[in-house]
Amino acid sequence: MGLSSQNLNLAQLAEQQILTKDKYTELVKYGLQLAKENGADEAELWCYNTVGNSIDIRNQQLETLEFNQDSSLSLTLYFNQSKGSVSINDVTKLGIEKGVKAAADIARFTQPDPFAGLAPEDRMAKEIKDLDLFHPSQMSIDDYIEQAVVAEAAAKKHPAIKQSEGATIYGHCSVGICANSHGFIASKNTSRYSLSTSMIANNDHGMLKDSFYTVGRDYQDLLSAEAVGQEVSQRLAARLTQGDAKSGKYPVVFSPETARTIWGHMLSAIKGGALYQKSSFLLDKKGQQILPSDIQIHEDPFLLKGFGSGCYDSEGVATYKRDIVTNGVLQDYFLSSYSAKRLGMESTASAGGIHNILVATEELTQQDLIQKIGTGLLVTELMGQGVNMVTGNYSRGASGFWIENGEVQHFVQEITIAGNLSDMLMNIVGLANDVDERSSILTGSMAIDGLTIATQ
Amino acid sequence: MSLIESVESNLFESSDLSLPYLRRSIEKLHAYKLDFSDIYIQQGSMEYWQLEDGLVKDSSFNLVKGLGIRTILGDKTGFAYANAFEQQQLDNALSAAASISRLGQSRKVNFCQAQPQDVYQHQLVMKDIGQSVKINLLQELDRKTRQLDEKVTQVIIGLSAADESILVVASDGIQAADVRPMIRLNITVVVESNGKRERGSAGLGGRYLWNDLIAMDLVQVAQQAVDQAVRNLDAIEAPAGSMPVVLGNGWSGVLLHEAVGHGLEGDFNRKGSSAYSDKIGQKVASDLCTVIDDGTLQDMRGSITVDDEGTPSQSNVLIENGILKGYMQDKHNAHLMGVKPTGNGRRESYAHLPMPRMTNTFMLSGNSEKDEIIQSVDKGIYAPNFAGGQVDITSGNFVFSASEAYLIENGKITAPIKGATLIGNGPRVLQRVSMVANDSCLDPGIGVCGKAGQSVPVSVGQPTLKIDEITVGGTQS
Repeated sequence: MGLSSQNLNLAQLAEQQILTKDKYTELVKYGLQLAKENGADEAELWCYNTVGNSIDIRNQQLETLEFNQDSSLSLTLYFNQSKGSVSINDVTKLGIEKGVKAAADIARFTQPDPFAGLAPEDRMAKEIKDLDLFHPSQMSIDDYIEQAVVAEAAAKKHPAIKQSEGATIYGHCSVGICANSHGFIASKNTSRYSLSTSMIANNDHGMLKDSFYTVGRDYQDLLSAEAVGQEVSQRLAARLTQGDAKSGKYPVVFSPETARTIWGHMLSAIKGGALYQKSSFLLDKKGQQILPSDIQIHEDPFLLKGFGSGCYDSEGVATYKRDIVTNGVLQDYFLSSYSAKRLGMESTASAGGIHNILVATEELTQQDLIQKIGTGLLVTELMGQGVNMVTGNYSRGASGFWIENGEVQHFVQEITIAGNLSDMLMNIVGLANDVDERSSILTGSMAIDGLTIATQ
Repeated sequence: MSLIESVESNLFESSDLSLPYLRRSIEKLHAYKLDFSDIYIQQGSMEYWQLEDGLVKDSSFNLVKGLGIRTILGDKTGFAYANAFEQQQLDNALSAAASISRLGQSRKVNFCQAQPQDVYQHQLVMKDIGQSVKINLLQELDRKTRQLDEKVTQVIIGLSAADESILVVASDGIQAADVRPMIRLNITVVVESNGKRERGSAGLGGRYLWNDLIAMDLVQVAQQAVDQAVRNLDAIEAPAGSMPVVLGNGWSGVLLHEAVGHGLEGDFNRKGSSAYSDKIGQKVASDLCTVIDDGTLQDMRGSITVDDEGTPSQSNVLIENGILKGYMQDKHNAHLMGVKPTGNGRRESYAHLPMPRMTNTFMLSGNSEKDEIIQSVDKGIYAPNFAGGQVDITSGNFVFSASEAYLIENGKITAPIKGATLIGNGPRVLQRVSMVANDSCLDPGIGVCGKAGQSVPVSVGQPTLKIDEITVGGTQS
């Protein structure tokens, strides 16, 4: 490709990327033709290219300057329901030729699967809307460094913060092309920027770390560097007063960041793969109550500037808005065409993952939830893997703040929270409106009754 | 032909790059004022087969190649990479990476070759055996797994084989190459009984070839997965609170990996952000603990002949009888801390910067018998198997999640309990290791370690040991 990212801003790189996109489109068409010549009944191909910079600073000095330039090609060929997949980072004519040959070779040995194949042709996306996902910025490397320096300096303002873990900023532009032998071909340009900083303070119990980040499709939408720094400073300051938590059964308020992980477990349990492998604690729950009757959850793939936005899934199936949970009742699963066929259902345009998930909120603040639970825990950080998706058994490490008399008392750490996800979902007693917009799961704080807290 | 010559001719077969070109490029790069620079060339391939519903219906093949250029000046690092083996691409990446510095005097580098010992066969695993042998192996294993217990309703077997060739040329004169094979097998079963369902999983792997795998007892791996799932069907609620915990040998070394391993990586200690910073020579664990990181163990998953900076892998004592002896280093952090690199500079790929990483990290055996340790506990838990762990190296807090555990009551292992997370503080928990058995072994070769978004294969190991008190995150208070 011969593009050097030296001294070019993202707008200039994005311009070069247009050439890459044209080249990739031709390569993808060539790949489909090759697949046919090699006897494949069906084929699908994906190409990606990402360019940009990632920069770390620490103690107000540049620490790492990275020029990112990544590309990949993936393709799947089907021969009489036998499948072969290849991924290769050499997106050239030669790379495609090698890839098609390797996929054909490997497919000769895989066994036919009656459910294998492309998604139905009539489900392919026809209209590709502009979802406002692409905003190449004029920021230079020096501008980036300056912003990171400002964020770090703002974070370090609190007198208790003695040490910086540095600040990181990146800007990336990506183009993705998706094509298959139905004749479907579409591309998607996106950009993504993030600024984060992380600080260390000491309290009576030792060192503590906290960090904060802002992220967006458009650099203009990021929080100011000053605000990012101040947030870290405030978060760490709140942790300086440390005390004990109590062991026993208590209600727990999850911050938006941690509430997102609970929704993540729920969503994983209603994905096609987990369902047909019978490895889900929400097996066969469609049409049943899985949440309290005042909870509504939607999927909206068309959210402007959204992190999970897109007009088609990774199989080219047109996405659509839908209800996931209505009045606490599970309405729909997340199915690719493969898992849909296995379950005797229809694809929900979920190949490649979820689109934007919106959890409807109540007119409550996090403080209202804290008051509501009276005594218990506010969790701001979770650790470890302790989730059993088959049984819903849940046990994770946590830190956060102890709540008494409806008020935050002090920072607590080295504790565990445990329960069963099926019960936890039914025991949600409040959703706040402090929605965190930094991911494709949009949720505010959440209160859940009756978790077991263990501490020393 | 030496290893480096054969890697060079293999990688650059249809390319205008060559070892002399890389050496000239390093010299050219040092027309800029730099303390250090290196060029890393990588080519890897991986194939993966998955069996589900008795059929091998998923197969994939992955091919990756690229080159990365790193420059260092003081504590600044410049990094650029490209995915083609072409002089033009290398030159572009070179000038991008050099942009952290200004032009200065050029200099001559005296190159020499790293002389590591071989710790595995430098062979490409791919062409080892025919595809149908692999399909038959998977299907036979599926059949035998289903025969182990009638409660088994689903068997998923994943089998991957990968090899990676690397070439490093650095401004300190080091030239090194490595060819690294890797095989990994995983068996997951779902069992069903009286409307209850559970899942069990077991695996093995290492730096060996197909024929080595075929010679192994794979049914025993399936047996472990089935046993784990079946026992969990009857699991009762796990206790909650502080109590004595006995960890089984092998994979429980996740404890060491999280509680001390990460905290002893040089980068965190240079920056003073680890709970173990400035503690060399101090007591950080009980007398019974001697912890080693050793990348030279034959055929192990975490082994490397040379690290990704060309430093020969070695055996490093981290903790000896409870005293902290040293950190794990890459070249950059070692240089800034005024110590020697320890062969722990690893990177996920050409598109990632190297950093200090673990290889095979384990605790040496002690003098106790496993039975004696169990008998010493009145009320506590025995945890032989884990799903993984995580650490906050700054506070020292770490978790590891038991996927198989039992109550110990009056010195005897009794009922199986549901999976629970254990949480502790690294430096404090290691002081509470009160008994260490004589049965240290490494895990079967299943570990993947993640750090700053980069994954590398590792092994962990540990003898059966007792921690007098650690918080168990069950639901039964």
